[in-house]
Amino acid sequence: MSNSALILMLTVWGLVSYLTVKLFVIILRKGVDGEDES
Amino acid sequence: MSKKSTIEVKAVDSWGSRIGLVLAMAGNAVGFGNFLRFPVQAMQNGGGAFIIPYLVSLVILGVPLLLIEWSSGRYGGLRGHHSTPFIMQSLHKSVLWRYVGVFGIFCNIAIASYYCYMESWTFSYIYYSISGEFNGMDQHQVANVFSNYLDIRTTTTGIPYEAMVFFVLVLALNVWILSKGLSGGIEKAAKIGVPLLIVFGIFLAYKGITLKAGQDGAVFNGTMGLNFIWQPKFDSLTNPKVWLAAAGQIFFTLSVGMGSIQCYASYLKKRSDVAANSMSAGMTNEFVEIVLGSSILIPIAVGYLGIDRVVELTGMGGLGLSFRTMPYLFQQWGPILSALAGVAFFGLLFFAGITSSLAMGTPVISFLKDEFGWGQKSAAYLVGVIIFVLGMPTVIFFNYGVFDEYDYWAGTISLVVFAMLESILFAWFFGIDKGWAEINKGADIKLPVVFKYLIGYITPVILIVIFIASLIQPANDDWSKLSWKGWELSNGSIIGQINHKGIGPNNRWFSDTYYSDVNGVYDTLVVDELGRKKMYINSQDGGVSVIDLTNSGKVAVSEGSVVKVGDPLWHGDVINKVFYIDLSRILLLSVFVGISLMVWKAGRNYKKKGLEI
Repeated sequence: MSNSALILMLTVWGLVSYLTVKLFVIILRKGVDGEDES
Repeated sequence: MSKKSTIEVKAVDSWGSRIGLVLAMAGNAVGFGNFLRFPVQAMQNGGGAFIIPYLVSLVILGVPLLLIEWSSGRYGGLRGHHSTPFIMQSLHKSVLWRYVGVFGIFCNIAIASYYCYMESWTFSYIYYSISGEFNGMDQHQVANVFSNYLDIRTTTTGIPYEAMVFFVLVLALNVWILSKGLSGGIEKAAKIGVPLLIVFGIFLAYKGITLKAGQDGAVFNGTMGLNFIWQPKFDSLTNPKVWLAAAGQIFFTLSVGMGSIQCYASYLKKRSDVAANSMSAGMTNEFVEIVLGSSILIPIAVGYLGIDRVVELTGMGGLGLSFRTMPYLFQQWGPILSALAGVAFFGLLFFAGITSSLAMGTPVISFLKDEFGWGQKSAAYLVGVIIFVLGMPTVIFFNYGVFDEYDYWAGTISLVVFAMLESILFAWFFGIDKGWAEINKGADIKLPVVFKYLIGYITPVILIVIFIASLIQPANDDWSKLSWKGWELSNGSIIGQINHKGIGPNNRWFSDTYYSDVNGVYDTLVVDELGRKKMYINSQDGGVSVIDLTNSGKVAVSEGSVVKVGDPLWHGDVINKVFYIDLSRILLLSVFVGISLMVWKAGRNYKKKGLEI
């Protein structure tokens, strides 16, 4: 793979994976069963 | 005298858990497009540079529409409405919005009718992979399995009318899950389906990325395919076609502009979060699309076939490559791994499909329950019957353009129209200040205020531009041809489609002659074992045009003769493709009018009871 393709791919993958995990962590911290509790 | 309260509060279904809701929403968004459409779009529109307009479209179009749909769904749900006609009218009193909301039922039911058919392809291919149907077949034979499958008269397994049988089976599974309700059916399916498809996706992505030239018959490294998708070609960023393709991909991938998100969100409770939930579901979809979607189809295909052949095969999209080629490529991994890969690949497509089609069935069920007092089970059964009736033309007349018509009008144009109108309603009629407050009610994350301005001013304008661009799209996507003196329209533009542009000389429903629609040389007439006649024309541009003919009639040209567009090829009873195209449009229009009449009737019921919406 060329360097430019590799850097672009890893940057975007990293960003998307980070945001996905971070949002799931927020949801897990606030309570996965939030719908039941309210 | 009208009552200030909304409709009487009935016992309504609700989500069992927050994680179930997010997975169901993510499952709604994750569909075939994540694995089949995204990598092909990226390949055809500037490689890695495509990701720039794609991410920009995600921020200015995708995220705002997610927030609009989630919050308006919750807003309508709290007033007792779970389908878009009355959710939209709860945002603004004008009766017009009620009929705009018809799109939110129409799109779902029309798309589900061909989507369930596609789902049944994946289901049958899982079966073929397990039973070893493709073992020992060459590439041509594997491709033929799919062509034969689409012709309902043929069978691969020995089951008569197997395409129809698999379609009914998959539809029955959808109806069964829908009949169990939100928490008992859809949520459980999402909790199984979404994690499983991610596991299958990771397995195949690993195989794709680690594919080495010389191993298992591969000619190139899988990373060559990855490089082809991700190599940025920055000059493509000045091409409006690339930006429109990116905006289109964001639409399809997030399932916005359909009405299913509003329906799911309408079952949220008053203080339920919209901001974090919607972003989480959206980002899960993006992870599946950008990380997994780009690492499977193209890397594996390029590893075996090379870039030029893959470009050629994906000319018509990723669907053909998946069903005609992938089973053959998996064969190179040996009998056990090929069966596993087949189950994983078509399994992930199946789970991606079913979690989406369940979301398409829900708005209709909710509409029938809310407005006509139907029960969950009976409404689910009716949805099954409607999808069956509407889906059969796509099954039987697939090769006559019915499938493409459904996809164009219901699965493409209606989404743009509906998204444009719902964003205008939310931003300019409901009001952006009120809307922003609604979005942030109960929010677990603080959204950047820039989204308020995007939703209020930018997103509706961009959607209007996209709609106008779809209306007047120039031929060959050459936007430099736009001029006050006029320009040639693309066959795919809305105006071009309405006028049957590009339909060629066979533009009447019925005829006694079939005319050539290409310049080329008449090759031969082939009669297969079922008595089907196919005429082969070698066209000037190097392709082969295959024409299906009726049994009665005779050839009007001699083999090897040169034919021009408009020359008669066949004398006999001819039913042209345009007949099936128009019939599909009449059918879709009838469905839209039928739903509008039901909405009108439901509106009258509110009036009779003196209730406000």
